[in-house]
Amino acid sequence: MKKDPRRLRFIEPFVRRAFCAVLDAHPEIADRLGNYAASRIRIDIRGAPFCMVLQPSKRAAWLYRRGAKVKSEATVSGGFMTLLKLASGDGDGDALFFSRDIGISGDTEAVVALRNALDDSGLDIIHEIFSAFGFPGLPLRLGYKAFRSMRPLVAGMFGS
Amino acid sequence: MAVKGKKAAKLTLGPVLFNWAPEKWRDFHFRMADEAPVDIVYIGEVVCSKRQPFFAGVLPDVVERLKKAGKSVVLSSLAMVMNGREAKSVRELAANEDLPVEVNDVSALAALDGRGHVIGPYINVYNEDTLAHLAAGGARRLCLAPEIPFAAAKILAAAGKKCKMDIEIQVFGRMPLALSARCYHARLHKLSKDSCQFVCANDPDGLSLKTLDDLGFLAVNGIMTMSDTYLDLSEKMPEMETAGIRHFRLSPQDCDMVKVAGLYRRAANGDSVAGELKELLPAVRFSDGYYAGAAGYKRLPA
Amino acid sequence: MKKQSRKTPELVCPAGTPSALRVAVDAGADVVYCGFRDETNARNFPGLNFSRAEMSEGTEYAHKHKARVYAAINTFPQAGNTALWHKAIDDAVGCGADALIVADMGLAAYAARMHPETRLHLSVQASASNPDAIRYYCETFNVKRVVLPRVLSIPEITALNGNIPCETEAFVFGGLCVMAEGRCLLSSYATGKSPNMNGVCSPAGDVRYAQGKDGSMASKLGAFTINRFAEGEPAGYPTICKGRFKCGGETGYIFEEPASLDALSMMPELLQSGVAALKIEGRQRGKAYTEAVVKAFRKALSDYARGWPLEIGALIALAEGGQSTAGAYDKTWR
Repeated sequence: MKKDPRRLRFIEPFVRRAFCAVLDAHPEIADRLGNYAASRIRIDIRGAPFCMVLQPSKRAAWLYRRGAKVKSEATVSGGFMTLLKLASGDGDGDALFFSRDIGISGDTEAVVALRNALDDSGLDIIHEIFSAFGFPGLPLRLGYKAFRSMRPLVAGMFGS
Repeated sequence: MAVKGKKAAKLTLGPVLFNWAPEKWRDFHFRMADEAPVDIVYIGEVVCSKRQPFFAGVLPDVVERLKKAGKSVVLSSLAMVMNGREAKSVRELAANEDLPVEVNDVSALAALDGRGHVIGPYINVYNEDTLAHLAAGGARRLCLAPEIPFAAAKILAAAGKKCKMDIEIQVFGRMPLALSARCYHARLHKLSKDSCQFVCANDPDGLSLKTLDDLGFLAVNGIMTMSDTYLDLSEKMPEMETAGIRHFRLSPQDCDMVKVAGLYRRAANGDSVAGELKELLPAVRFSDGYYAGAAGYKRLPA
Repeated sequence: MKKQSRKTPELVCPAGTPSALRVAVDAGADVVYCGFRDETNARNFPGLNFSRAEMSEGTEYAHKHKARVYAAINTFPQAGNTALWHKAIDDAVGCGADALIVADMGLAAYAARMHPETRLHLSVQASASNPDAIRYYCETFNVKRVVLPRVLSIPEITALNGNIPCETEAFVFGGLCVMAEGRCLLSSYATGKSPNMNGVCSPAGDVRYAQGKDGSMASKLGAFTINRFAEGEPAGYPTICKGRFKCGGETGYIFEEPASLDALSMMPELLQSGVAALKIEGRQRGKAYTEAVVKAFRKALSDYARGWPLEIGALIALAEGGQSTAGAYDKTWR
């Protein structure tokens, strides 16, 4: 297979594993997404050297270098902590959109469906990721709390 | 000429929705009475209760002239009733025994108490259940809201047949799209609604509203928001007649409505008049998207 | 008919998902309103709303915590397809809903005929804004409560409450329709889909956001540009009534600025006007919103009961365009 210079293949398997773990633990997400599960949604973390494309129906996650031209139906962009808050239901998507903390382009319907599905799922994203890599014992919100405490550091890395 | 066994289409003239000076309003109706091939004329203030007193004085003359010319006259009621004064005016209108009333707010239904009436396009009738309910309450004709597609109108017409309720559809003019407690004419002129100085009278066809990139979109008419486009369903009239819809409403605009009525009379007989309409009103954009269930502003290919 | 009098009014809260329902109940909602996942309710958004099973579970959860559930079946049934709406009514009753919120007369007649034991509330989408209209609904369909259109001032609400045979419910927070609810076709004019027919206003499928190189963002609804926000400028929903347009020599917010209704500061007057319930809009919002707004109004109600000062403006971060308004409750709004 020809190497795609846009892809970040080294980290991609980890992201995909985490994404699949989330989908497995929360089948209601796919249920709520319905047909929108087939949409490829690009997650643009402001300041990060990469972007992510997720396609729930194919259980697929791709990682690309920042600025790479990639096919997707919709894009959600925002700071790392903002996106994490959104995915965990700790932030209201509309309010984050009003304040311009997140941006949307492409198929708005797909983004709204994903937002609503995630908001209902009660996803604790850090917990899910720790679980995916063999630390299921972590108390539900501990991971996220620990992560939050590292906020200044993270903010320094990616921008808030 | 009417086809044997088939009732002829009726053209109706909707109520004037804009704030026209009383003399202009009177002369317009006189001319329509004398010259326009319309069968039914709706009169009365639908949009703003503050405009009502202006033409109250000329109203009896207009009614008389229309009747003399053989037109049926219907009194249209106010669409938004928010205070005691407005409620009282609706009750008075409903209490008149001489002329049928077009109900544009549910408050008028209560006052009519089962007497025969027309349901206007500001009452939400989207399905046969609501139609049957209103027919049982004395409604004899129903003018549909502009967003209702032909597919639904057909079903309503079939249901109406069973309970002797005619269906009327607007075929010409700006479409009323929204009502508000706020007056946008007053707001634009930085006036309060209560001391509006009747600035809406400056725009006898409504005030055009454009998008930031200068695309015509809507028209402001006091508390009412209307379409920028004029509805034109002239080409669809034969199809609607086949479905049992026989009443076609022309909503008055500040143009030669006698000529407009003449064109639509011919359209009812199957003539194609879209080209002549375009010639008569070259600056107007026409639309018919709602008819096919599409966006209302669109002009769909014939 | 005798009026029910309550010392503290009901707090009626939105839920677009089962999670939001639980959050609302836990945060102190007396009532949660929600709808099925189809065009029978006026928040028919992708990924939102309840399956039959979820509605049953939600009702059970609410009842266990001494809260109630109202089912919103408040769009206008489509000609030739009224069975879908009838089934929604039957199923909501079957799921244990404590009241049905409807807007359509035909549907109200169906509910009154088939389920006379279930309370019937008139949706704001019916736009019943005067005593004569409200009395008609009460006498014809045995409606027990009317959700008031967001077009009335507080003195008008007070006058109304003294003149009608049913309870009233008034919006206190959230999205603000500038046009009379249920009588607005602006969305379908631009997109073909409307609140009345499809349960959507400016449907997401017709909305596109264009990000400019200068950090600006334009919102488009179908063919029409609804707004353009400069970099960092707070944004609003892509609804036509909150858009920026050119009209009569002016460029700007011809109808209304992007802003949310926040009537917390006017709550004492609203309570004195005799409303039986305070309603929070926002079934399309996240559970973080639900929790914050329900808690704030629960606290405000208890502060008010104790004669304490109300904490005003705490919810501004959740407001559309970062701005709030008292809407038509304040007469100068008109």
